[in-house]
Amino acid sequence: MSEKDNTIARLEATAACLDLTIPEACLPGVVANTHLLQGYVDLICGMTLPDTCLPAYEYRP
Amino acid sequence: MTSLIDIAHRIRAGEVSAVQIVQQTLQTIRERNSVYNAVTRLLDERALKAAAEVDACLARGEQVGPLAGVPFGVKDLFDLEGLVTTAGSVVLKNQPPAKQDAEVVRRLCAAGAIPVATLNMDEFAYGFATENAHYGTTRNPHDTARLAGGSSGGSTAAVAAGLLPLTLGSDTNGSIRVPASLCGVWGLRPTQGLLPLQGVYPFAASLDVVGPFTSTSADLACAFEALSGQSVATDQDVSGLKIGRLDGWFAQDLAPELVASMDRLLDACADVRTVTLPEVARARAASFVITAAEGGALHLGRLRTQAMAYDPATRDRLMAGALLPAMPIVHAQRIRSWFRDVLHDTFREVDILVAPATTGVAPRLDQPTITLGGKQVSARANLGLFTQPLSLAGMPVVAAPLAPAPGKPVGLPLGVQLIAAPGKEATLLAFAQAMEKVGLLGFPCADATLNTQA
Repeated sequence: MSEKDNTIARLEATAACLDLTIPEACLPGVVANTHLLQGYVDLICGMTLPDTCLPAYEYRP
Repeated sequence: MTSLIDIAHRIRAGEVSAVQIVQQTLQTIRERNSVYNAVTRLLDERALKAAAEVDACLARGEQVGPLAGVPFGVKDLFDLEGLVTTAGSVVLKNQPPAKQDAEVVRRLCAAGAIPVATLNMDEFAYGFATENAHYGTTRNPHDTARLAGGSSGGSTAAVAAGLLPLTLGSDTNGSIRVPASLCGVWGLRPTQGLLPLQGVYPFAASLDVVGPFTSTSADLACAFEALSGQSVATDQDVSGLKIGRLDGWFAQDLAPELVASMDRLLDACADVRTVTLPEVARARAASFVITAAEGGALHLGRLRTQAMAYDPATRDRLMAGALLPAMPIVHAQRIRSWFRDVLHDTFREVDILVAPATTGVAPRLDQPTITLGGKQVSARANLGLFTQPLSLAGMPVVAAPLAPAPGKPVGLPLGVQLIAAPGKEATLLAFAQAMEKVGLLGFPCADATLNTQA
């Protein structure tokens, strides 16, 4: 299975969990945007933070 | 179109009536909007009725608000009583009309201002271009062959073209700052949470902010006072302010003329130092991921049933966002807390940070790219390069147009971001007005410089 096929299979499985069907016409765009987001996810997850750095749920600058 | 302060003054002085101003504004929009596609709907009946009420109040000698009779427009995501809020989409067209105005619209109306038009945007505010599959592309009034920027492109183009003296927009990742910069108008992204979002269609709720656009910094201060209820002192001494020029991430790929204009601006400041923020790429990534996830979650229900009714560019991004796993979204919000603390520490050393708003002038419509690292990349996805990281920190930012270089042709607008600590809008606006007075900030209206090359 190619990397692209893997991505599509993973996306469709996740979408099914959310009761979402990705229309065939949308797949190329969704795959492209997923790859773009994955680059940002990799950047984010590469940063280690102390456990006491909490998510900004109640954000007040 | 003259400034909103001038219009309000002339109406109060009886030199012109509010009805005349509104009629003239509606007529001007009808005659000129087709060139720019900034306006989506005109509100003749409501506007003329409100204007007549202003005139009647003045005739009776009653007190009127500071913006009495000033026409304004709103991005298509602000509720206006009796109208369906489209947010630039068609999927909301069957929603019921709004029962009341958005709170910020109500505040402007309470100050006497009059809504006359709704304005184009990227669908659901997801873009930096104002290229809308349903309502068309908004063109840059300074060169109609170029992008206006987005997502509040209708709001900035309307001010730049001289159609309106005051408009409202929203900013999640740069949707006030990017189009303000490309269209050469003033914009304000206030401190996160300062202005109410009631009646504003959300995009990424934890990052969304609303703010005004005007053609002068004094007008911007006036609009901010009406929106926030805060008084902005215009006579602050700004000569002692400590200014930080953002380096590193914010110095990449800048057009030479932008660097030269920023140099001129900062040469006029007494205390300037260079500031390099850490981990800006990750801050931008966090903003990107939070936006995609929150936007995707908001639209998931409709994406299940009406996906093909969305603008394809918006739809595919929202779907990808809805499918993100939880861990990076939570981690992005943790980076946000960390980055906020970095900015707080920075503002112990400086009063105002200065950064470019974009890398250069507005991209052409037929070549919608910008150059990053020597490569041509999509403008729609990357125009927020310098604005997205700062959204994450939630600080107030004035989008300020740089003045044209003295002795040279006016050219196309370029803009900077002036950033301050939370709640320091008054300092930013005082600095902006001081720099506009000495000719370093501010850009002429497009009716003086229009280039309609196709």
